[in-house]
Amino acid sequence: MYKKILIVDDEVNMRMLLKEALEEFEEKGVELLIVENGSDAIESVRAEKPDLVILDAMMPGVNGFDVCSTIRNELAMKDVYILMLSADGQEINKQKSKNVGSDGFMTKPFDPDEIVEKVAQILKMEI
Amino acid sequence: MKEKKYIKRSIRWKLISTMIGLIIGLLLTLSYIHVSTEKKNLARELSTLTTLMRENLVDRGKMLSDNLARLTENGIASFNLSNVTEIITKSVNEDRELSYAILMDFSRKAYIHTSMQELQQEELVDEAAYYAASQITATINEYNKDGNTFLEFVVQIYTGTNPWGVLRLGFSLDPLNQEIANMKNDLLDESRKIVVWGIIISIIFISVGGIIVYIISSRLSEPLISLTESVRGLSSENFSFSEEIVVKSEDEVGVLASAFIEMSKRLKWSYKELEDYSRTLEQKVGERTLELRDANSKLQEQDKMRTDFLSTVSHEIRTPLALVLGFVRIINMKLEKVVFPLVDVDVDKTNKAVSQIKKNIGIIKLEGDRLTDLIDDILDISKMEAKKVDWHMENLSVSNIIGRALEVTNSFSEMYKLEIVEDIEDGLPEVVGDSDKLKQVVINLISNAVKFTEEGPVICKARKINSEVMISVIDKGVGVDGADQEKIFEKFSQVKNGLKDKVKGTGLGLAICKEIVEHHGGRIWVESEYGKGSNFTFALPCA
Repeated sequence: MYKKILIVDDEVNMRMLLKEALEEFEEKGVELLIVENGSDAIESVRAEKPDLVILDAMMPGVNGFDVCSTIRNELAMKDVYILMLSADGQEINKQKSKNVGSDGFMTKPFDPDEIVEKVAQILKMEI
Repeated sequence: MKEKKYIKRSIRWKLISTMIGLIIGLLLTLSYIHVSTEKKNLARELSTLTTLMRENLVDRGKMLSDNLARLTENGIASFNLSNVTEIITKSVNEDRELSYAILMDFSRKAYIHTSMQELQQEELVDEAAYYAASQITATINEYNKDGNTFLEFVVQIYTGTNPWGVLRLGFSLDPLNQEIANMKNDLLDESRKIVVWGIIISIIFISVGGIIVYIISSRLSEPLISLTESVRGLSSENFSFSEEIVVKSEDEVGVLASAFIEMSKRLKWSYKELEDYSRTLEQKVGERTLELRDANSKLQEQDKMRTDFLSTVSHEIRTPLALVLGFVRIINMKLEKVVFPLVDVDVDKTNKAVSQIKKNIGIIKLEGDRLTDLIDDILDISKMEAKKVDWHMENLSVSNIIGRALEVTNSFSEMYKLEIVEDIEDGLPEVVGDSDKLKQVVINLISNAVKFTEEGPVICKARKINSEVMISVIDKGVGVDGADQEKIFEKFSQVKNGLKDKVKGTGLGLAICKEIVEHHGGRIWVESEYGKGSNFTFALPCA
């Protein structure tokens, strides 16, 4: 059973950065799913049931907080790990992400190594 | 209730009570003088009259006793005693005051006894008889018998030249005393009449005086009452009362009323002016309020715009920055893992290029991090200045704050190969503060100390002094010139330092520290000598 990581970000380059950063996981058989907006993210989660969602908080339309809330409440998926990324590291955003049910929060800019480390920890893999 | 008090203390009441008091006092004094004078006069008159009446009685008694004595002596001489008895009895019957007549010899044997005829020829043994028998000259004897007072005239009776006996004529003093008593009663009646008349006259005077005083005081107090009503009216902004006042008299009250009317007119005018002014003022205040509201809403709008701007800028800068830094790290990683192992480092030029690329990537990472820090600091200080920071105030242990800060700065200090020494006093009291923000202050101070120090150690000291906990970060670094010691806490202040290689700060760290410490009611300062080191201290009040 392959593990799946869903990357959600409206910025094309950020998607590329995350994809490249997590390349090693892909090489080890982890499936990287990439979407560019909140609606697609919900659909993808529903259809693919990923192990980890790396979710950008600030997106036009359905934002990251809405996506997180939908996953936890409407889809009732408690096991999927949701790691939120935001350029706004204010305490209020961290609290908000916690309130909608996220498991982790990282502020942009981030060190790709940190992400790799974190993902390895979540997926219990060695890189 | 107030009205009653007012009436009780009115001028009318005071005048009437004073006047009545004076009238009563005057009449009582006059009556007393009159009655006592009258009483003395009547008493004197009574005394004179009594004396006269008594003297008259004595004269009459003497004369009668002398006459009857002569008649008796003649009767005895002519042995015709029955004639004498008849004359004496007749005299007794005719004279209302003459009660009795007794003729007795010196052995007290009664020959004539008009009041008790059974005692005739008997020896009289009463005290008066003894007294009369013992007299040798004409005597008057006053005595009481059976509750009656008698004045007895005793006259010696001679037969020839020899004393034979006495003739006793007893005048009753009771009619005289009765008359004196009647006169005394008349005197008392007269006095009583004077008192009664005095009372009647007093009542008349009091009534008449009261009415007169009432009328006068009414004339005095009515204008004053009207004035008082008007003054009350004035206090409730009613100016119509003063227009109803008609000034009739030219006395002090009249002058007062005129002055009051004039004052009311002026007040009315002033009040109108004030109302106009107030209306204008209200209008102006309204306009200014609207303007202020506009200005305030503009300010709020601007504030919101500023916050939104900062938030957007933060997001918009952070995202590309994240990409730059992220890709730099990925490039670095790929170079290190994939490209560099394939490069022939034996060729000098290639080796130099690889070395430069590594160095350049390092610089991009370092400056990227500095840019991130700068954005963080700008956001922090902007939020603090705009009071948009959520402070989580709680009781905190100072050693705990320092411990958490050191966990963060340890890796940093290791990089610079500097030792950080903790010197925390035991049993420090707690302080009230935001744990993360105070930790940020300690981190900033230690980071600065590490950045600007060549040789360690850096000491982080905490002491309780008076009612404050003082936390100091002491280094032996470049120090701060005296002139710069104040400036150093300003935003983006540039002060000279002797370092060339170490990383520059954002220029906001100490300004943020100052904002945080001052928000906690504390203070922050530096003691330093250029070239010898610094002691940055902040003091927080104990919890």
